[in-house]
Amino acid sequence: MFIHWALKEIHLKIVYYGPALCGKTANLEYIHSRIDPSLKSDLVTLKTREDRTIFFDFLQLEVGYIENKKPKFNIYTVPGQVNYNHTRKVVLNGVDGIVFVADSQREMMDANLDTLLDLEKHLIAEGKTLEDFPWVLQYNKRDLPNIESIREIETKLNFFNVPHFEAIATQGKGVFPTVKEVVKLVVSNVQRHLEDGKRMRA
Amino acid sequence: MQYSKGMSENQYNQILSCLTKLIQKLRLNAVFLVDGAGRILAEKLSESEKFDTTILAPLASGSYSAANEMARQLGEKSNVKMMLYENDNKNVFISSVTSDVFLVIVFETGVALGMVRLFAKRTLLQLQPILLDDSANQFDELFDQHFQGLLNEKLNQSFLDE
Ligand SMILES: Nc1nc2c(ncn2[C@@H]2O[C@H](COP(=O)(O)OP(=O)(O)O)[C@@H](O)[C@H]2O)c(=O)[nH]1
Ligand SMILES: [Mg+2]
Repeated sequence: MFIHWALKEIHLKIVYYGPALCGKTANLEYIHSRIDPSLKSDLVTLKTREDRTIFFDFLQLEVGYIENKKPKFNIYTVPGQVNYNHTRKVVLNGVDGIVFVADSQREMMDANLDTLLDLEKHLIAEGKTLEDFPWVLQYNKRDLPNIESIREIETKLNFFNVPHFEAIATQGKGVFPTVKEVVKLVVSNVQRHLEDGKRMRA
Repeated sequence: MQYSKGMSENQYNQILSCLTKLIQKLRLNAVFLVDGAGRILAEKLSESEKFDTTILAPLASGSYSAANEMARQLGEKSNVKMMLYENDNKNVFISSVTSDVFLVIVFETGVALGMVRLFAKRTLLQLQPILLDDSANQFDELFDQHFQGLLNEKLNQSFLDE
């Protein structure tokens, strides 16, 4: 979190994480297509010729002033390809909250778990863990035929009982509930940290 | 890693005055200060310019980080000191200010690169002590108990499918 006192801006960074092709970019595309133009930046996507995210996607959302402060949400995706490790680390710099997008297709369960472990590794490098960090799970591609049941995915991925959402990102289903929840967790987390800091200094 | 960071009004005004001097001195198109998280800390655009720094900041931050990683792969121990993008009309010069903050300068191809480097260097030296002051990172109050509810309401209004 970054607070710019002169401009009364609060910058919060949210990163969509998940294996390659799970639907991270689709989430941002939907958000971008459904927000009032005055409240959003352009959607930047850095892709290869084959339409794969090579660096990140970026979108900034605003909601105007709240109690004389202006929250700005900087939303990023990471590339899922295994060998883009450094890029994921760069995008996670200063992250405040994460949406982990899991691909619900049965054959993707190993990739989901590997990517979740990869995320934990990066968080630890920043002095955080999946247990004490605001994040939510999105089970995407619920429209496909060969998907795992929610109960199964829950046991395979949701070890810490974080909020989870079913989604069909390409149709926009579940996209807004997911982002609203992560924003809520991020704000509560900031609040908790401020209170802890206050107690420690008192 | 520090949990929250902030910039005070006083810091911001000092930074802005450095950037303003720089842009006027060399008739630059734009100067802005960006951090490693892709956030824009301060910006100054010439009057005729109006590109979207919201987008440029994460792109500059990403390319600077990529350059740093390239240097690391080559066996370098410290961060990239400067990089230059040469274009047909506007060049971009990026130089590191602190380990997590860098300065981006956009200038017409007619402006001498040597001048840009010289004045960028001076500006860095002015900016470094200002950025060192971390008193604005400590604060107790940011949101009150209504904030969460109000934010949620605003989000509901902004999301047009609900
Ligand atoms: N059927 C279906 N396809 C999806 C869904 N979400 C994304 N896709 C498709 O999956 C592919 C990869 O999506 P993309 O958002 O680029 O994945 P990313 O690599 O995580 O950014 C694209 O062809 C999308 O159209 C979904 O919910 N259902
Ligand atoms: Mg993508």
